[in-house]
Amino acid sequence: MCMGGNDSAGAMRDQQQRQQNVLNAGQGQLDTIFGPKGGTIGTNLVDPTAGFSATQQYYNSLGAGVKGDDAKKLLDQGLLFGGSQQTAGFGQDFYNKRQQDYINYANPQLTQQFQQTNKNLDYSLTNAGLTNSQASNAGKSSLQTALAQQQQGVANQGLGQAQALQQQVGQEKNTLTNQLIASGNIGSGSTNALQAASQFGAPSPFAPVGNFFNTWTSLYGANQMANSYAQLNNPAMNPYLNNRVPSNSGALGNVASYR
Amino acid sequence: MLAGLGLSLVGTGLGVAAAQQDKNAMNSAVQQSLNEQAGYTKKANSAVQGNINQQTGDTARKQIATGAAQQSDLYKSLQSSKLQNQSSVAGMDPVTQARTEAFVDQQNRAGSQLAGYGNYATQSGLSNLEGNEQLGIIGTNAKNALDILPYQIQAAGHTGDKLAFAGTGLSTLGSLAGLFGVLNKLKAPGNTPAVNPNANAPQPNVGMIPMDSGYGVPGDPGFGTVPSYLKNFSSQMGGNPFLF
Repeated sequence: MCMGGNDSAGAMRDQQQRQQNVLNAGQGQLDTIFGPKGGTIGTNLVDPTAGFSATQQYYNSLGAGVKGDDAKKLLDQGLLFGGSQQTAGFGQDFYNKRQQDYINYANPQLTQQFQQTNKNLDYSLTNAGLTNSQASNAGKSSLQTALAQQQQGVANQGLGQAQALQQQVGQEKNTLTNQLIASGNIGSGSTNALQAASQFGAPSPFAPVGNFFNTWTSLYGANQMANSYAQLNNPAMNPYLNNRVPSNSGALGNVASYR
Repeated sequence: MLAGLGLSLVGTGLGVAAAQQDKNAMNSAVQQSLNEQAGYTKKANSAVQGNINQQTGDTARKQIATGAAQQSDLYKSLQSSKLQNQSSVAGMDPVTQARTEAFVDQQNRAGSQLAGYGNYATQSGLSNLEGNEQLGIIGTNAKNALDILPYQIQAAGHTGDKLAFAGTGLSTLGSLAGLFGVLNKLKAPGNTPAVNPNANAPQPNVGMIPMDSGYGVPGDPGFGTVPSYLKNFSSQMGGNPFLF
């Protein structure tokens, strides 16, 4: 007759409860590390087989100090930590800062390129004797619009990087949660989470911004060429067009024939 | 003997009670597990429901609007910054300037609105990740809890072991007591059968049916008489019953 069934079932129940506590505590740590407000978490998981001192200051998974019997209970559950660490979390301000960091990086370059392009436009208009003309207005309006569009592009690029970072952080938390579930090891989970969190805080290299006004300059230049061509075809601007005869007459046909 | 019978009955009763106790404990273990699983299901539903609430059209519109407003503010901030003042285009006539600014404003609104969709996509994806994480934890806890059910049922199957043991003990004791009672009854003087002093003496016609003393044992009603079938058979055989 077997009367040991209660013992093994009780042991299994205890083990299951320990696993559940570890998972819940690990999830709490990950929520703290990757949450919007941050907080304190326990670090350096204490090995249950290592020496335990009832008078020593220990910490629970969320960084609260414990001693004595409370610490011993946590040790038995594999949830006792030797240290604690404050984490800043990943709030909206963190992602906004990433966006602003890119803007701070790209916007001065944009401004510098704009000033140079604006000067070139001024020189071009002055050389053509078109200062304060309708052509000047059109050119400057076009440049102002191009500037606004490039500024939007910079802001959008910053937003995209901030959102990509937000997705990376979320994905990293997801990966660490899966690792926690698979391993049931809160110690390695919190260590990996802190490492991942610190990597997100480090600056990452930005790609060069390139020439913001390259497209505008090309379009404006092409437009100027087109205008010149149009002026050649304008009878008011080109007296030679008055001698124009039908091209099928055999004489000088059109302006193309003069060039 | 009666006491033994009583003990055996009590023992059997305890055995039945032990079996019932096992059955109840096993049912209780299963029910407890079902209740626990129901709790996990409730948690999982809550997690899914929370995620669903983050995925509705209303939430999407709010997230898009929030993202659009933030990006619009950013555009304005960028275009009115100190650097922007250094990069304004001078020399436009007021009409062209106003037209240009209106065009830029329209572009800002459209751009920020488009950026708002990105915010929705990001928030939606994050909500899904969060939901998956919660479900992962809840599902693992539920599975771990379910995994120990066989052990709990096995343990519950031994809940009545002590009672059954006591019952078996009483039954055994009852059997022994009954046997003891029978033996004692046999040993009592009044109950001992009378010993025939001639029991071992040579008997005439040993192995044959004693015609003079009949058949059976002394005290039986027909003792000493010849059975009728033998009489009939004897007459059929010429009056000698020993010829067959």
